[in-house]
This record gives sequence, C-alpha cells and structure tokens, in this order.
Amino acid sequence: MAKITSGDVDHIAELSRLEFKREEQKKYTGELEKILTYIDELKEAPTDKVEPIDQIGGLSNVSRDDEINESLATQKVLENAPEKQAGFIKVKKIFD
Amino acid sequence: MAYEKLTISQTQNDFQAGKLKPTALVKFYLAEIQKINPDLNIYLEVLKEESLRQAEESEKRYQAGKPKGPLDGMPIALKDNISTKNVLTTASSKILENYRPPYDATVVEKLREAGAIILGKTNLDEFAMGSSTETSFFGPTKNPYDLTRVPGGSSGGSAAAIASNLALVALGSDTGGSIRQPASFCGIVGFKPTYGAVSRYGLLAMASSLDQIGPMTKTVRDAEILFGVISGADPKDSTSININQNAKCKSQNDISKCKIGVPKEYFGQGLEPAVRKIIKKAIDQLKSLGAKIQEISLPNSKYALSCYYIIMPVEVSSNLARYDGLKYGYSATQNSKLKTQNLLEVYLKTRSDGFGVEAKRRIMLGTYASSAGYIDKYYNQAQKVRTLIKKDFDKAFSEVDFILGPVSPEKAFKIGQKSDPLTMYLSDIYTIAVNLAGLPAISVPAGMVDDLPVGLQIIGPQFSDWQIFKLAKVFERIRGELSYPEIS
Repeated sequence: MAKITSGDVDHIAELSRLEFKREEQKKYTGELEKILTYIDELKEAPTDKVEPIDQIGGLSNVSRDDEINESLATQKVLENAPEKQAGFIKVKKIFD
Repeated sequence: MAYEKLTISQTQNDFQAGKLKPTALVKFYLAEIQKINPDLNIYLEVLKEESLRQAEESEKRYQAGKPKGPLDGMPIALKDNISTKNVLTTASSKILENYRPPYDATVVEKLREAGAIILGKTNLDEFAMGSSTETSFFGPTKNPYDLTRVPGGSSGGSAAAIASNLALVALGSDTGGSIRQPASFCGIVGFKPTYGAVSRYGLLAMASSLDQIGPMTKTVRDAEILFGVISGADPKDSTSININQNAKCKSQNDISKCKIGVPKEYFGQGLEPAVRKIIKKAIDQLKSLGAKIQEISLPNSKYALSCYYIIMPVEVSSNLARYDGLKYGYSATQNSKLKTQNLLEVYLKTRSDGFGVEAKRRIMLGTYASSAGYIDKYYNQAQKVRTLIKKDFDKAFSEVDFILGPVSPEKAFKIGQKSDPLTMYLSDIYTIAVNLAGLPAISVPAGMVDDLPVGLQIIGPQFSDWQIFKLAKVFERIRGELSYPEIS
C-alpha cells in the first residue's frame, strides 16, 4: 500500500506551484493515497524485457524545412497578458 | 420539435433545392438554444451575430449554385477546449474564464474553409478532466434524456447539444473516452480517430500523447463526412498523419462478413446486466448478417486504468504548467483580494485560485509520479505497460478485423452520484485502452435501458478509421430507428 504523508503533499504542492489550506491538504493526502494504492497493481505487470512506448503512432524524427513562416505579431501575443510594458510581459520581482 | 432527424446530406439537399435556407436553420437553432440552454447548461458561449452572418454568406453561395462542399452552411457546436480566434475558449476553467485565443485551431480553420457555421462553444469537464461534465467551473450539463443525470464527459456539452437538437453536428475531444462515453450516454454517434489523424493544433492540451479531436453526430455518415473535413497531416502538429481512405479490411471485401473479436475482459464484473444484454444483441445482429464472431482476450487490459492514471496526469502536470498568470488567462495580480509580493506568489495564488479540484488532483498525482525517486516506479513502468496493452491489440488484430464491446459499463448516472474520484475514474474502463494504444473507435447508439441510451463500441486497428465507419453504418442499418428525448 502506498503511504502518502501530509509532508509528501506539501512537497508535491511546492513542485506543482500550488498551495493548499489545511483541510484541502488533508483531503488530497487521503485521495492520493487511495489512488496510488490502486495504481500499485502496475508493479505486477510482466514488463521484464519490455520497451516503453515513445510515440504511439510509430513516428520518429519528424522535422520540417527551416523556413520562416508568418507568425503572430507581438502586439497580438501580448493582448492576453495581464501586465505588460513596452512590448514585454511584466513580472513581479523574483528575488527579495 | 423540428429538424431532429436532419443529417448533413439531407440538409445540403434541402439547401440546394431551396427548401431550407442556412439562415433559417441557424435561426431555428438559436431560438432552441435560447429556450433549452438555461435548463441544460450546454452552451457556454453562443455566437448569435457571427453565426447569422456566416449563414448569410453560405446562403449566397447556395443561391449562386456554388457551395464550398458538404459542410457549407452546416451549424456546428465546438467543445470549449478548441481554440476559436477572438472567441472565448475557456476549457471550462476559471483560469481561462476570459481567454480569447488570437488564432484558430487547425480544425476550426478547416471548418471555416469548408463553410461550416460555428454556433457556439460547449461545456466540458475542466480541461476535459472528468467523465460527467460536473468538474466544469460553469456547472454541470444535464442529460437531455433525464435532467437529473449527467450527459457523460468530458465532451458532455457537445453530446447533449446533438441529443437535444441544438446543433446539426459537433466536435469533441477524447483522451480516455471523452467523446465515446458521452455519445453513449446521450444516444448519439461519437468517433475517436486514430491518434494523429486529426491535428491537435489549437486543442488546449490535457495529455498530448492521448488527446484526439473527433466528430459527435446523429449518424455514422455525418461523423464520416465531418472526419473527412477535419482530418489530415498538419505541419503545425508533428504527430499528425494522413489516413488512407482506400485501405481495405483485411479478411473481407464485404464488411458485413468481417471477423469480429469480442474481448472476454470487457464482459466481466462491473458491467451492468442490461447493458450487457444490449451489446450481446448488437453482436448477434451482426452475426446474422454473416460476420464471424470470435472470443478474444486482452489480458493486460486489467492494467489499462492504472496505466492511464499515471501517464495522463504526468502529461497534465507538464501541460498545465503553462498557466502561470503571466502570459494569458486568470492572474492573481488582477484580483484585488489576493496580495502578491513576488513572482512565486503570483504562480502559487494564480494556480491555486484558478484551477478546480480535479485539475489540482491530477497535477499533484502527475507531479508525484514523475518526481525524483518515483519516476521509474510509476511513469516508466506505466510506459512499459502501455507497450503491453498495445501488443495485446496487435495480437488481436492479427486474428480479427474489429473488436466490439460496450462503451461504458453503465447507463448515464445521476448528477452527484460519483463523488469519490476513483469511482469516477472506473467509468472509463472500456475506453481508456483505446487511447493508450492510439486506436480509432466509435460509439454507436445500440439500444435503451430504462429510457436511457446505451452505445456499442467498435474498435479497429490503427489507421482503420474509414473501415470503422463502414461497419458502423452496417450496424446502424440493422439496429433501426431510435427515439429522441422529449425535453420538458
């Protein structure tokens, strides 16, 4: 049985860039443990000498000619950005 | 109710004969939507002026005797995870509540070129994560056959739109059954193409190695016509391919005498007896036409759900990392109730406030399964199991032309019935393996259980999309007419 602690949930939340209130954290701890316990059956699958799937359609090395195509204008791309300045997306400071 | 049996070809005949006009048909649907949508919550956005304007243009083409093709003037509903230029595309998430993409998805470009008329955008589970449309930020869609029940999901809005006659045809997307299961629950046809057959460019990504856009229609022929327009290799999606329309069924020229495999694993515990009865009857009907029925085994299908619930969330956690509150969509910086001092806080508060419960659950699950120390145990193992599942199908298709079975173990369930996530996940048990193996499959209405529709699933080998339509049409013919819901 997969054991998930509230510490695990805090760690995964940090990696996922999510934060939870106490009750949410408790709820996810229980749910993730239940789901992972179910999923644990995968370890019984006979996968010795089995290669993992990489591309299900069997394609590999799909490339195109290195040609310049029309693309969206900067102004269009920035239209949806909540904060922008002088043709750039504006972000808050990264370091304190 | 009028027009409920209208198909694409009938509509085109009527347009050409001047018996019906594209503007009249669009006005009919707009009026019906206004009447029915408040109760069923099918459309999130209706393009009133734009659809009428397009209808007028289509009308001129018909008057000049020059329609663009089979879809000219055909009103279509699009699942709201398909990008439409300057038109709200929310994926039913708060994080994209006000998002208007600056470009069209490839399928939308193709539809516009073909003269199709976009009526509006339909409800879905948030980012297509769910089997009931209940995880939508905008509330659940109701099943037109019983308003206390779910329409299925995640393409529940598109399925309900067709079943309640609020569009001629629709598009959905299918990652683990999201076209086929709602098609089954709403008594319509839903086709999930071979992985890569339809460009995913402009489809808001959930799990990129599994997602496919496909048609949701009243008849198999309509699905076939729509697939013909939207499919094909696209330079903007490097996984897209062309499907050979002239490929033949392996064992037989006469499709009604083909070899059909019935997997014993799809008729085990958990399958509702009344659903089993309908599927068995469908198989018997095809047998009576000369099809050779053979029991087969897909021994690794028991791992499909677990395999899917690793691969899908891992891809989800990666795909949804783009929603950061900076480039587009909801941002905590625009919410006066939230204080953000630095970049990290913008990420945390935007994502925590913008994503719903199921999206967060899958992001967490996927992050865990791909994190240091766990990636071999979970993700890499799941990718190997995916190979086993694909090999099961390869082996089966060396013996049979098609595989038949149920779409879902049950009829449409009640809204709120499946509050536990794992119970909800189990409702996709017969559809998930198809996505893992990249196969095409169709859901065709097969019968009714307690006045609720039940679909038959036809699965074919990779690239057999056009042959599936042939067999599905044969089945549709022997099945006979279906009844339509009466929405009170």
